[in-house]
Amino acid sequence: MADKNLPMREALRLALQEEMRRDERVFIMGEEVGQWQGTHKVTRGFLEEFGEKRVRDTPIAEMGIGGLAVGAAMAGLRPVAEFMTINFAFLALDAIINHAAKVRYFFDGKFKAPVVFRAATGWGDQATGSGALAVCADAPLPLPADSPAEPSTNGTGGAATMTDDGRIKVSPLARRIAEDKGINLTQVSGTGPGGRIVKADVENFDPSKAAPAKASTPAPAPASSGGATATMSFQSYGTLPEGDDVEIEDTSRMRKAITKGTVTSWNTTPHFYVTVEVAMEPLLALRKQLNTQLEAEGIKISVNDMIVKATALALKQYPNLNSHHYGDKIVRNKRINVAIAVALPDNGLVNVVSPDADKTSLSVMAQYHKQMFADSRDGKIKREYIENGTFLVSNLGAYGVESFSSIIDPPQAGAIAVGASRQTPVVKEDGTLGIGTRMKVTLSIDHRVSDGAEGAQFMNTFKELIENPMRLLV
Amino acid sequence: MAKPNKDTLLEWYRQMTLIREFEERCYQLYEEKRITGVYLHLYSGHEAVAVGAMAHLTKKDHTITAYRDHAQALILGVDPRLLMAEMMGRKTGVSGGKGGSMHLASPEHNFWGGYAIVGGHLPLASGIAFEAQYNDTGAVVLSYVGDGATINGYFHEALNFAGLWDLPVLWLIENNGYGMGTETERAAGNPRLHDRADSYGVKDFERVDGQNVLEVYDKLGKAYDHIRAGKGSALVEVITYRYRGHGVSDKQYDTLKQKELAEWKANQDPITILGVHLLSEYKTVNEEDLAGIREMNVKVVDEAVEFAENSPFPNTLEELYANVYVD
Repeated sequence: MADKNLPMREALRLALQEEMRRDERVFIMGEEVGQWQGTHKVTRGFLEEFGEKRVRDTPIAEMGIGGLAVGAAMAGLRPVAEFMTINFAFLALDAIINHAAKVRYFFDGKFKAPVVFRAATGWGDQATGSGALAVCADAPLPLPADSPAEPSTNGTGGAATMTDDGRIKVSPLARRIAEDKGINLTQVSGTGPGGRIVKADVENFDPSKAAPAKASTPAPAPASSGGATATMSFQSYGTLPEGDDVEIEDTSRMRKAITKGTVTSWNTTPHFYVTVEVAMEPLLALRKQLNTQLEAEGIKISVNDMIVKATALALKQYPNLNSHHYGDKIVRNKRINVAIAVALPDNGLVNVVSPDADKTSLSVMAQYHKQMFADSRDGKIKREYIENGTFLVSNLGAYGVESFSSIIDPPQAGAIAVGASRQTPVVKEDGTLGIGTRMKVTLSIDHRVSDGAEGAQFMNTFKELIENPMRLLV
Repeated sequence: MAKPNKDTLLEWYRQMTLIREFEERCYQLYEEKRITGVYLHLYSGHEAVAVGAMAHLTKKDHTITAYRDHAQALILGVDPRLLMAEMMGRKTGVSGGKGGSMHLASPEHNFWGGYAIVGGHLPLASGIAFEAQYNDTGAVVLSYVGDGATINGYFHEALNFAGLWDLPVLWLIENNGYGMGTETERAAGNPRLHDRADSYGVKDFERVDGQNVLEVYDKLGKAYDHIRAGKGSALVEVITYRYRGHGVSDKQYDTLKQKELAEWKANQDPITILGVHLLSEYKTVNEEDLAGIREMNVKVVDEAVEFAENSPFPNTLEELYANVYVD
């Protein structure tokens, strides 16, 4: 089917036919689409091949056509609703703009409306119709407005818009040019509607300036069937497996939120890592002393409380790490609010904030943390607990982990990952072998904001504070 | 269709008083500016309509309505805490804080929302019913329609599709006498709204007193049976009254209509009517039992408010932009 020169109406017909054959959920509705084979005969032969259930002649009722298609799409079908000409679509603008384009947003993604609205342009050669469609689609609403306007198509003009399993958005002409030139489409950025790759993007593509090709590359396939699973956005994962060996469930809101944060960080923040090993004996001894004194008041200071304090004091000396990167600006945070990663029941996670950790005494901090962690585990996460964090502390010591590295929580510039305190063989000052209590701490740091030398110096300061813990009391 | 027994009626009493408590609390919170925004449309006075109509729903049936949607969500069993959180625009709300009062929805309960445009959801109801028919699921779509919406173009087109293709939609017209501030008699050329059904080939089940939950249940049962027997779409007009204005910013009862409101509240309150019925028909039900149910609902709503007020707002850029574009 590739490499043919087809009239537009035939290209549309072939694309529709292919999708109707491939997917039972697709159905066509519109005025004169069935018995009379559609305006310009775009649905010639369809009633005969697919039957009345899937090829629906409708009354002249654009509002109803638009709205019914939205409802059917929300319910899981894949309607192709036709407005005989684009100007008639204006009767259905409410269904298109207020419903098709918005339900996904105001229902927070729980309902989606994957509907295709088709309309022929004005009869004249001046594109009154297509111009209007592009203007409407781009301005108030984010529907992917596909005008397969390039005349020589290979029959896939409408297909990319209709399917939702994450294939690259590229016009058929651009795809063909890319194929001819041997260009890898995953390296090309699109300037068309919704990030679609168009002819100009491929023609202006300079491979020497391009990002490296992504691993899962599709062959630019001329037929729209066959699963090309390369992803332009991290949210396309290909089609779900089926059958008895798998159970599918919805991703929870918390997981989605964590996904967004960590993937953004992973993709945009250049991380590098600095690890130090700290001697824990002095800190553990001081803690024991303090807690004995505070027992009467019911206050218990944890190792993590002291780590948070040490982090804050170290940040005071290295304020650059308490900054946030915003492209051409760096934001210097005047307060040091250390965020702490807390695991929640049901596989949840939240980063709660210890405000002004540099200025807060350990006993006050211990009480506040205790309250915050308890509230979080009960699902009572107050707004103040999660706002304004400037740097993250993540501690897996309780799980016996030797060391790990954290993903920075954007827009923060750094995070420290704390391992367990362990008994381990050490080389003593006099050169002999002994046993010491050591803890590994790994700094993740944003290379846009800082660099190795500063990271190393920060970690050395942190180590000094932990190993001379009286400094945490002043 | 089984006649409701004492337990069922007590469950309806619970649902109705929960709705009343929730709605009146929303009003109070709005006055205290603890719920903000322009749009809050309350169901107080309508309780028997939704409770009676939805008692017939099975798990696979669907519900869709306009913006006076809190009751439907509560009846279906959506957690009141998540609903209150949505009123207050919090992340924990049932629509992530993005929809607000008018856009409650829950796929698990086959509750399709919650829409702002008068009549806008009617063709969507036809579309959802289209899928039920296409995939032969046997489901019924219960679609609420305001009296004002029966006049708009969508009503005409959506009902025509339902009548033409025999889509399994039950059109439930809630005629509370006003389309926003204008009396139905001053808006409809023919104020007998159910007459319209015939014009579309939709079966007309005429009118019923919407303040009496037993009558609503009885009448709606006939309409459901018609649809479930595969005979096509059906319509019922329910006569009811709302105690609060069209929306909270509507001051109609502050000025013109106090007397009318007082009469409805005194003589036609749906909760009172059910309460009286329970007390007179069942020796084992007494006033303390009913008071106990009401008190329990006060606590449920208290908890919902506390949860909501302690929930964070969506406030990161990612959250704001979520679900605006497909990718």
